[in-house]
Amino acid sequence: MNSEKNGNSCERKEDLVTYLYGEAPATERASFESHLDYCDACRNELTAFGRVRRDLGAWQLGQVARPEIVLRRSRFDLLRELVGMFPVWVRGAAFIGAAAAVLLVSLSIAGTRISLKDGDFAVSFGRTGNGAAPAPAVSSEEINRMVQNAVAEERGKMEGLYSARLASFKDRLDADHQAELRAARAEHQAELRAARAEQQAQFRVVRAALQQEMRRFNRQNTSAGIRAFFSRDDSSDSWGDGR
Amino acid sequence: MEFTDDQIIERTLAGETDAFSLLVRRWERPIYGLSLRMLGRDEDARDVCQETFLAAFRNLGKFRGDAKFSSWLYRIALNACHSRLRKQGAVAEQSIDHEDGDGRKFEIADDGLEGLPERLQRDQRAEMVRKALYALPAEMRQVIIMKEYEELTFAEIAEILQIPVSTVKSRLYTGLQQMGARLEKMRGLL
Repeated sequence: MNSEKNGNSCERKEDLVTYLYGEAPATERASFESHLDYCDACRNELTAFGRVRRDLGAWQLGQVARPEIVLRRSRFDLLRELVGMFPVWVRGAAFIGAAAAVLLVSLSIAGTRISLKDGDFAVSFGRTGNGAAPAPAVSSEEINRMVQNAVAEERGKMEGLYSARLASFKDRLDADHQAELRAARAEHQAELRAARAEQQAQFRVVRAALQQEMRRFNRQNTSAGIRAFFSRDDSSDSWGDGR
Repeated sequence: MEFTDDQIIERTLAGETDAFSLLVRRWERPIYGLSLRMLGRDEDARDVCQETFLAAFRNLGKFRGDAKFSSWLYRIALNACHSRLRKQGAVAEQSIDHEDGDGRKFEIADDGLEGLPERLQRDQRAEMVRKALYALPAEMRQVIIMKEYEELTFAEIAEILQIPVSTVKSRLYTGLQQMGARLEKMRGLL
């Protein structure tokens, strides 16, 4: 016999838990059942755990209102989603435009000179060695202006496009949000109505039981020659109605 | 047709973000139940629920299909619960003895046809269980909750907690022993 007053010294604790929750395969189950025939400690423990499990079963969650989950998106998520709405070619064109603008700005900063004279195309960077600059076909200021114009034009286009998209996206988000709120409110009200109806039904059941009890009690008293303990007849509704 | 979790995840990742609400509907109650029993307060449980689904939504791209989505979700929820418990510090038992901030009593099942005396008795038992459970160390409490209320297998619990199955069993064993002792003590005080 293997038993202790306080705690279980048996080695088969894990088997006990596996058996308790019905997860033991048939062979292990049979083996453990044989073990239970002679191990008092495990048998007692099994009984005690069964009692604990019954107690745990007493705590069940009732009709709980659904937790409202709102999936708030970060600004980065929204931006990513917004950019994702544009077709690939638009995103590609924007990228190429930005890259070209950066290249032109870089060339301008490096003092690049581009000349086109007598059909010959020449590009030079920085100052020339002898200090005599070749006849500039396009001056640095002109390049700057061209770059600025190109950037401004591209930016204008993209801003217009993004503003329109952003406005429609915002409208859609607002509409979604409103719809979610309405649905949540409707659901909540329905739950409240259901709970109230259930409560009223319970009250009616309890009231009927009590009235029946009153009638029975009065009948008993009457038959025993005692004045009715409950003076009101059940036809007069002392509980009020509307519950 | 009912979509599997993996199918819904695929749809969400493909840009159909609204599909994620199907996962929320499917898993919000188990996650809420787990959080409520871990933390003991309705308000905290709702916050954890919100945090869990938001984190899952944001990190869905990182979810590897080698584990079940539900295991991943339970893990996120448990991490959120532990983080909240750490913030609260050693929470005094009295914090769950009273109504919460909104005056809502702790949720206990309400079976309409049950008689009043039986219901009172059961509510009293539920209250006792709640206190005894909450007094357990968190690592035992979570195993008992997942086994008893979420009805997960030992292997699933081990996967969620990323511990060996034998550890799950030994924690459950010790947890049940401690629960039994506490419940007996409480009955003695009644």
